Amino acid sequence: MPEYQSFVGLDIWTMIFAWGNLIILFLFLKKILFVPLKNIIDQRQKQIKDMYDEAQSDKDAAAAMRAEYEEKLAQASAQGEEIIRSATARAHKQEEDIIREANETAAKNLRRADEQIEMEKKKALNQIKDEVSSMAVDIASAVIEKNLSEEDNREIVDRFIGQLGEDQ
Amino acid sequence: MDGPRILWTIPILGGITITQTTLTSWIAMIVIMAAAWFLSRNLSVDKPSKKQIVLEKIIGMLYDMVESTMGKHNLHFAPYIGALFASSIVGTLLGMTNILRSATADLSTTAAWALATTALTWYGGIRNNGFGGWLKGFTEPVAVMTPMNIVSELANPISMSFRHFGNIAGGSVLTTLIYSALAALSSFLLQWIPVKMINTIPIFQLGIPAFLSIYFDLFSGFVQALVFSMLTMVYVGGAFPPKELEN
Repeated sequence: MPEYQSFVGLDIWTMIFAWGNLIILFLFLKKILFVPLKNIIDQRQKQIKDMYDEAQSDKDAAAAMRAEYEEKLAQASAQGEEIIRSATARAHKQEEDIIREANETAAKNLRRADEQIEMEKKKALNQIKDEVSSMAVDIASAVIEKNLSEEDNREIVDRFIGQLGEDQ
Repeated sequence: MDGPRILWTIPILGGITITQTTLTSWIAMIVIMAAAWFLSRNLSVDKPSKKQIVLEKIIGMLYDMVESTMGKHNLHFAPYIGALFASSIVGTLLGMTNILRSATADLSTTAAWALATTALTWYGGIRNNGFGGWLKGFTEPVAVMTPMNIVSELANPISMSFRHFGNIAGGSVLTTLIYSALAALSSFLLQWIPVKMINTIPIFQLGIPAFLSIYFDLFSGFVQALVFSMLTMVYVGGAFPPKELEN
């Protein structure tokens, strides 16, 4: 004969089993299901966060490199301009120097040539003067056949020559 | 309509009674454990299987619900709420087999769960305010309210347990009544058929109770499990306020 409990009633052993089962199920689910699943989800979130962080840092690094390159490029172009400008300036200066030097050299050469010409002229004049004077002495002594003293001759001739020079 | 049948009595401690309810509760526990074990196998971080996606969705919904009703600091209660909800719904649905009796159609089960909820709220109250502070809480806002506060504190587990028990047990009573009514209707309509074999077939019992069962067992079982879990979350969440509100 099966024995039934009342339809609405409390049975302490049923309640104890209900509590026990609930606690066992809670602990089991926590250990088998909730904690491992939470770990998995946390790991995934961490992975995603890491990926985002990595992408962000890569992006930042790329931006920094770009800025650096742009700066370097600008520097290089400025340097190029600077080099061209300084080279041009140097070339201009050299050109001027060369021209000035050439002018100076030419002027110096010209001056030296003038001096030389003057000297040559003087030398030639003196030579001519000497030759003329001795020639004149010879001629005069031959003409007057009277030998003056050498000093008198020279004096006469010098005066004569001097007059010649002044006439020129 | 009888209560749960006593299957065995273990003759120690004044006779430990193993009823249909306890048997169903054990089977429900084993079913949930097996499902949890099966679902949580081969979890993967980067290549989740379809099974795992569904599992994550369900557990995520549970966590969202716990977070929205109890707060972020009480998320560690989620496994308990999950165990309670699963026990309730599986314990109810196992009654649909007609071999087992719904575990929640026994007041002992729902009362045990409701008292567990009450015990948690009391524990929370004592932990936050001290035993004296917790007792003093009954006299607020004015001392005259003390009897009312005590009654409302006791009414919570009673109403919770009777609501869940009544819905499920009432559903099974109604189903039983409808079965017999349909049998009576069948024999009434078929009595003019002179063949003895045919006019005893309870033809109207075919199919019609299935639709009623969708409401009384499936829907009602789900709603009651949800209501019970929600009430537990609200009461326990109220007893465990966020850290900055604690005294």
